Amino acid sequence: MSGTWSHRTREVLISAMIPKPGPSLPGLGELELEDFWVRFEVTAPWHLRLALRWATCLVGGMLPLLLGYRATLPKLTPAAREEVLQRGHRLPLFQDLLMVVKVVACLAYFDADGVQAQVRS
Amino acid sequence: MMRIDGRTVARDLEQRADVVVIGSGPAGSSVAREATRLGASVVVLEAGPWVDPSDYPLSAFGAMSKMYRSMGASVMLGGAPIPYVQGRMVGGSSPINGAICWRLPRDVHDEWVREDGSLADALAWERLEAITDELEVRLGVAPTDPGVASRKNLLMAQGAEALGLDHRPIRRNVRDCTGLGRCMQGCPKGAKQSVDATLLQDALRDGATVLSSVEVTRIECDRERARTVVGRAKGGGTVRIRAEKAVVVAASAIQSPALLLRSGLRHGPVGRNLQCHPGVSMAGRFSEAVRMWEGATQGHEVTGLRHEGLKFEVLGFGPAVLASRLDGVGTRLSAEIAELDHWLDWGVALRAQARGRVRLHRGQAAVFYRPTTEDVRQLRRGLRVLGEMMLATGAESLSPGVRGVPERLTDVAQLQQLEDTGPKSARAYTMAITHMFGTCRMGRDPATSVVRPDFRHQGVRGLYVADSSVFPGNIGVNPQIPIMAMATLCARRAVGPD
Repeated sequence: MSGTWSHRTREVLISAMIPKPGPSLPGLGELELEDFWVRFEVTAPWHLRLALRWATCLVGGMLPLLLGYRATLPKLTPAAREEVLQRGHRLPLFQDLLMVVKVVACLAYFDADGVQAQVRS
Repeated sequence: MMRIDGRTVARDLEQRADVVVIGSGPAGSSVAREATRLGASVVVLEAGPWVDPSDYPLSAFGAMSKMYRSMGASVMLGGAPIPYVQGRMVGGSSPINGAICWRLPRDVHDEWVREDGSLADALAWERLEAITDELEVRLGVAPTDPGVASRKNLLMAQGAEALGLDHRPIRRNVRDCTGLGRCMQGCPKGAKQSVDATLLQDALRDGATVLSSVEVTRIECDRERARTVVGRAKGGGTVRIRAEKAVVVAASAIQSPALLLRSGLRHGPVGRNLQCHPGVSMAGRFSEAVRMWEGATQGHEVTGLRHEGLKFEVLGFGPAVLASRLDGVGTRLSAEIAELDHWLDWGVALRAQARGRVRLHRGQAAVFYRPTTEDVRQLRRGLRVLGEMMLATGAESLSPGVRGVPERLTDVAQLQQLEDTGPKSARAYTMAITHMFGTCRMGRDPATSVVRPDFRHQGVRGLYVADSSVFPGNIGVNPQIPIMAMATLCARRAVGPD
């Protein structure tokens, strides 16, 4: 798994977790996450980083193939990515992995000043 | 008064003090304060940094990465990985806790004394009460001000009334709280009277030295007497502090036994007998906005089932943690986030029966814990009560966070079914652990305890343990004040004649 593939897949996976919630809030994919990832890699404990890597590999790489798609998550349409997540969420192992992704996605999403301000306003 | 930042200590540093305290949380700060009051010279070593309230981040990620050990993602292994939370900064968990204050319950003290009669005198009730009285004044402990109670706290009061359960505003260590709802990220206004802002300041004023960002690696002993504490400063230097009178370990019920084990002090059941408060939560959706992140972070509690080991509290997460607790992924999660202000989360903490263990893995604490079947049954009961309170206050639907149970519940019959036939395995529950005890338990018998009733290590002179690891058992309530009271007693014993 090359760094480029895993980073791209991680971005796509995290972004698919929180698509645009409404007119006043951005989707996670619209936010600049570079600073978040730098801090995450420095401060997150090893087991959380490892769990996110597994989730990226298994949910982003393997799950679409298991579900019958002929491509991994980054190459799917937004609608197909959404379907992969919803179906994965009903599968025991993938449910655990998606929980890890969800926690990291929520931390990243509400780390953005604009999102915090909008929600708290 | 001296503060030394270990990030600036690049060369080796050697000092001497009467008392060397390891850890600056509620226990360590209390020891430092009392020992300096008694005239001892004191050095406090803390693994985490000083963080000024003006630098407390607004975002959960910012706070967790700066102020929490392992970003708040430490886990206990066993039947299911369960997260537990500890602070890692000057003040320990005190700056990032919910500011909940309980005195040691009399029934818990009675249990301890029944189990080991030697504690009746060593932990005399009247002495603990007198210390607690003084601590409560210093920390401004008082019931939550109705002016900052906010909707989430008032709703719990309504729910408890509807079920006929005793309840009360939580007693908190705050002054001039304006209800920012940010206790768990640290109060940026300094309203919380955490130990870094109170007890440790008293110790500094009386001459203590605090070395932050210094990770203690071992305690060195000479002829069965603790002599020197060795640590590694973040700046790269080695720190050696020689203790003329006492080394007091106050690094928490997880880190203290790990340090003893790392130092080769394997006497007695060190690391065993881990007890704690596993907790689960019920999220409820309301038709009107309830804005969970506003008002006193944790301002109300239900005490009516404490005799069964269940204590219910309003929770006060920021938006990130609340969102991650809700159901769904993708568009379903986004829909919940769009209406996040309609959600509340209330928790129940259990005085669990299970006992776990802290071991050493590559020099670090590895924690093993598995709730018993009875513990899980009690948690199901707690969820039912939480759900009933929420429904009684007008919640439209509930999210129990339990696998194998419908994601949304809407009536009491479903809650009853959850209690009666819900999953038996802890793995099914969204659980977190707070308040850990017992891993260096106190007692008369060296075979079953790590420290004596006077807090001194059973096998090493001049070595004391002051934190909740010495508690003989689980106390079932928030322990910061009992920890401070016990640690104050420990300081008196450590500074007195050996």
